[in-house]
Amino acid sequence: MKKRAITFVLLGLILAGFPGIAVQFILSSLGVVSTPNLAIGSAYIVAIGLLFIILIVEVVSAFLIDDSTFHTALLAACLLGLYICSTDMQLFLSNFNNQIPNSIFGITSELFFLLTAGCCCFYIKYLYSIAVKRKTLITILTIVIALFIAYSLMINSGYSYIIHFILLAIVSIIFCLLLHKAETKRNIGLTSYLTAAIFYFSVGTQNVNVMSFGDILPPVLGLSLIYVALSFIMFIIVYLVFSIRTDSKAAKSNEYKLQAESFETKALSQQIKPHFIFNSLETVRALYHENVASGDKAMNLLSDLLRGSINSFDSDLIPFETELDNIFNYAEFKNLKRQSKTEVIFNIDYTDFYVPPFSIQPFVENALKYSDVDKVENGSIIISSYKKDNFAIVEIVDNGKGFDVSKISNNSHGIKNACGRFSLALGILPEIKSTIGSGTRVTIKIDLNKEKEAKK
Amino acid sequence: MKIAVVDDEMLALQSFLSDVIDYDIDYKFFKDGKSVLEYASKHTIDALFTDIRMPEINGLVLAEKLIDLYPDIPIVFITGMPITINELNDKVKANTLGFLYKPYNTNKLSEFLNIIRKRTPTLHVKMFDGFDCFIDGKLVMFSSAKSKELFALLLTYNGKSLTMTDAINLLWEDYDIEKAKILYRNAIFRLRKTLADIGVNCVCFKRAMLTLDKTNIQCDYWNFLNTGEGSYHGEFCKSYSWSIDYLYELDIIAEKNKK
Repeated sequence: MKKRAITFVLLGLILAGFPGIAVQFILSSLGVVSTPNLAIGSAYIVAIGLLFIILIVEVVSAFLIDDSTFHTALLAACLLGLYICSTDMQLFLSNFNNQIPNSIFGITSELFFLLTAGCCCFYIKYLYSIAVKRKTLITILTIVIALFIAYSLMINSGYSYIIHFILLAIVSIIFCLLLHKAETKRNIGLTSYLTAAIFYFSVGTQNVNVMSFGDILPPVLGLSLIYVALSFIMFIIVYLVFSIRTDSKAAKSNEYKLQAESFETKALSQQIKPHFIFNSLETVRALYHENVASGDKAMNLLSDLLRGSINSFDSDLIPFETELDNIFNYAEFKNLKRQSKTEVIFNIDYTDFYVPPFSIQPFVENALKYSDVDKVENGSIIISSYKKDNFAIVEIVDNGKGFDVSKISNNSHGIKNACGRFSLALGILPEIKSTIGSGTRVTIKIDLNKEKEAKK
Repeated sequence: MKIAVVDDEMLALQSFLSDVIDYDIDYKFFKDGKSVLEYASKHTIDALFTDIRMPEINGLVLAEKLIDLYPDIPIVFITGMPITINELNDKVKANTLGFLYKPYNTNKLSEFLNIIRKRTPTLHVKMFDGFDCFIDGKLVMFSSAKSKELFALLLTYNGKSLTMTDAINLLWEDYDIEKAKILYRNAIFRLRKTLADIGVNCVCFKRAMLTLDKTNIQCDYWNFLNTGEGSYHGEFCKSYSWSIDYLYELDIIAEKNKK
């Protein structure tokens, strides 16, 4: 972990304009003062033009495609702003005897730099659904805005670069913290590395800008161009990866929507099959003949079970405790009519989360029906729930005869349905491990942060 | 105390109510909302049990009109289909005790009646000879033998907190600790369900610790400890292995009483 953090910082330093400043420093100390060059300037304008085109594509697609997000468009807009205000542009404009004061370039470029950095942070936060407290967010924003105002006021004093470096330190720390948090959540992928690169490129550009506008080092034509070109390439890749991701996500959710509709229509016939209802009624009658109390008990359990299952069509997620009730009612009812009882063991330690309705019950039903635990010595079915890190974990474990997992799809609608519900509502799949002869273990791992979003 | 009951399928409810209602409650059946309002304008009623789907005046409208007459009247909706309290308007919501779903659940009905009578139900506990609990004169059915035994142990502790370690040592001594913890949690889960089902809220379930609220519990063992009165015949919580530890003390009290 530490190693990776160091690599990140080094990579950041390299990308973040230290080479740029170095080049600027060497060239200026050698006395090679860049002369405004129309060729480089034009290349620069072309690069910015390309960035502009992407931005338009982004914005249009954001309106046309439902599942597209505004994140990348926002990032593109901020980058564009940053590069338009860079030293290269200033030098290029000087070809045309244009005299926009340095201070205006300085303030606007800093503003766009902060916006770019903010976009990168926001993008990482969005990708890994990192929760940030409102209070923290407001504090950070206030500090950054205050510093920015101080920077703008001091722009002509010659010391504004000190405030720029404080701001730089703050946003870099925030970005690194976010990346670190993202990494602890799951392995971070290509997009985040590239976003990091874009972040550092913007830092680099702005460092060169601040040096030039503050008259600390003379501007060198073409430095910003390099950053624009690099950011541009990175950005294209980020954009592609992101849009492919959202496309596949959209396709998936569409597919599940269709499936969900068929779930609903089929659910009654699959979850509660008519023969289950009739068999159950027969059981209730038999129990009433035995004695009224157990008949009453059966009647209550059965009606709660049916009601739970009918209610389940209304909501995508229900409290875990309600699902436990469904399981409990089912297991108790099954036990009423059996000679050899298998008590389902509820090892419940954590219940403060939500699951799709009738999504766990089928696994218990399966275990009760097919695992033959009652024929095994010390046979048991245990449902456990506990919290680990930021995950709620539910396990259904039996030590029955087990089954061939690869054959699930052919015969078990219940389990298929349950898996579908999980991936539809929470984007996860229960993990089913079964060994013939030694039992089955179903593990469901629910990301509590993600679930909060799904609840919204 | 008079309860107005409005339902078009009266037969089922009639026999059901006569089973559970005590002599202190009078109930009157109505076929539709109109007749209830007519009756209510001349006589007092203390509570309303009503179906929701009815011709002419539906249950919700009836409830609203009745609230105009009796602002504090408690209302229970009888319904076959699932409906939640959020589907009611604020005026009705404030007076609604809950929903009685068909087929009727006796425990739920008793719970509502107890609220209407402003009576907290007393749990009667018999610990001498075998252990059993009764609520409103009916035997409480526990969902597992061990959860029943755990409750017996908690009652025997007589107000003292029962820790998980104690419970495991006494009830699941033959198991290794991990398995015992699983079985302990299972018993807790089931005990919690049973108590919720009968509408008794006397146990505080904390992590690894159970505490009992002794109000609203009548226990022959506690009575015997306090007053020396009771039908102790040398047997206490029969068939629970840990009960032997308490027999000595009980024998001493019984001995004293004889003298």
